[in-house]
Amino acid sequence: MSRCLRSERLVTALHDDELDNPLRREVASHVSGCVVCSHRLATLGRMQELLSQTFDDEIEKIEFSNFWRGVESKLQEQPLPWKVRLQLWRARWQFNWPLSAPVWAAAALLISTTLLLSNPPSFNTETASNEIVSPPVSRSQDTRSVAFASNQQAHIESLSAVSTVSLWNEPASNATVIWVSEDDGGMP
Amino acid sequence: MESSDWELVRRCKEGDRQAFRELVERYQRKAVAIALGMLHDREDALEVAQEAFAKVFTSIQQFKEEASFYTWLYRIIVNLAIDRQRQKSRQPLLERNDPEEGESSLIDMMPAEASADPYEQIKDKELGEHIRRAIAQLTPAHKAVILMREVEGLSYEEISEILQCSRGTVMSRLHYARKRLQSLLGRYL
Amino acid sequence: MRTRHLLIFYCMVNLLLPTLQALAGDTVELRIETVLATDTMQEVDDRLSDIRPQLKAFRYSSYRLVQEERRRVSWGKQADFFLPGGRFLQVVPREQTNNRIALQVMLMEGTAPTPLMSTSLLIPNHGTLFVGGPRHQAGTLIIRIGATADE
Repeated sequence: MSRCLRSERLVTALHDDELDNPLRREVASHVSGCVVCSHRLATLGRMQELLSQTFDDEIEKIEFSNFWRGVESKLQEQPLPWKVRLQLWRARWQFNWPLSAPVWAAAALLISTTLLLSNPPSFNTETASNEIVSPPVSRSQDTRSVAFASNQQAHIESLSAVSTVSLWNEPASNATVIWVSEDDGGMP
Repeated sequence: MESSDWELVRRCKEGDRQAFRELVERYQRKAVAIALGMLHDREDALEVAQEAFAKVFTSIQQFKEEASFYTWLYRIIVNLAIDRQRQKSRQPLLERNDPEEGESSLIDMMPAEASADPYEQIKDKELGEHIRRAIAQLTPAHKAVILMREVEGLSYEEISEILQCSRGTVMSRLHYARKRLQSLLGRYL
Repeated sequence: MRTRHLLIFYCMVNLLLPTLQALAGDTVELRIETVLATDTMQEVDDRLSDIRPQLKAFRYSSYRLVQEERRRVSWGKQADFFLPGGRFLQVVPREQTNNRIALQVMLMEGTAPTPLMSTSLLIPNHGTLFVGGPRHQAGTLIIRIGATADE
């Protein structure tokens, strides 16, 4: 009997599949030869069956078609916490430094006013050409500029890639497409 | 191809509502099962499960992807269920009573006759009701461990992660819960 | 301490300047939509209904919007957009001329020093460019790049 009392926790762990292989074999071997422990194991098994069957039956009776709607209405009741909104805002702007509002506000006002008064830099303009869309660029490890291409939708000044690139235009839908193949071919 | 939990969580973090809906549909039955075991009331269980999912969505940015989604979900459900139960009653979170002491055993209220075959008994609605009433006798902490182990089939490790307690505490609570249920359901086991 | 405050000033400038310049009409709005195209299902995400005719160009059976981001960027400033699969897109709006927007677009992958694709192009104001081809999960990514400048 004292041997079985010591084994009580082990029989439970055997039932719960929480024993490593050598110990599991040892306990299983003991249980098969011990009336008390085999009865204990059987009782644990029946309890598990009764409990899981009871809840399975309960769940089967429940209609889940409106469950999602219930979740949505709960979401509407819960506005996003200000911390979550702040996190989303920070993730968007990729900021990681601490806030110091008064300093920031004063600095921003001073510097932004100064910068707003300055003129933005200007760039040289280029006139569009009227060349035909080119065939696919061949694979190359070197960056190679391919100057060409114009259409009613886009004017490509340069295009380079480390793999095969295709360029085309869909006039019907006003779409210009640059397709980068990660293997040979692969264009849709 | 079905997306993994991790992929759905990642999409939820990007604000993809459809991904969140997939997660809800994947886990709604398990969520309600846990809540039902804790609360014994279908309407309360549905409401708590829905609240838990809403909480998941609003807290999704804090979820670390190396963790397991369903253990996180279950933790939220258990906590919400315990809060809900506390609002409804003054039942303590954890009793230290020995199973033989204190309140009368449910077994005294059971009918004298019972079918010998447990598989036939399952079809007996009265038995199901007895089982539910027996579980209701447990404290929330003991209900949680027995439900997660016997109904959801979770390991001690997973249960300890959900309940934020040690593995030893899980084993101890499980031992007590089983002893209590055995004393309440003895003739059916 | 002074360095830290200078850093904070610089950060505030980068934070507020786009907004202020937007008010001054000196920015361009970039819109990046990442679509996962597959042949496994027959459905087009409802959120892509406005570009459904354009998606027909690719001849996949299923399109799902996985990411969408809009950002207002100053001329000459680089904007990075993270894409699925460890990739990211760098877009620099350079200037506006004759109602066309000059963009520099680079598609980068992970930490590879060389871009997968780099292009300089002019697209009409409110126009759209598609960059496609990178594999992701069981499908292919198609990135829609839109640019709108204040007129």
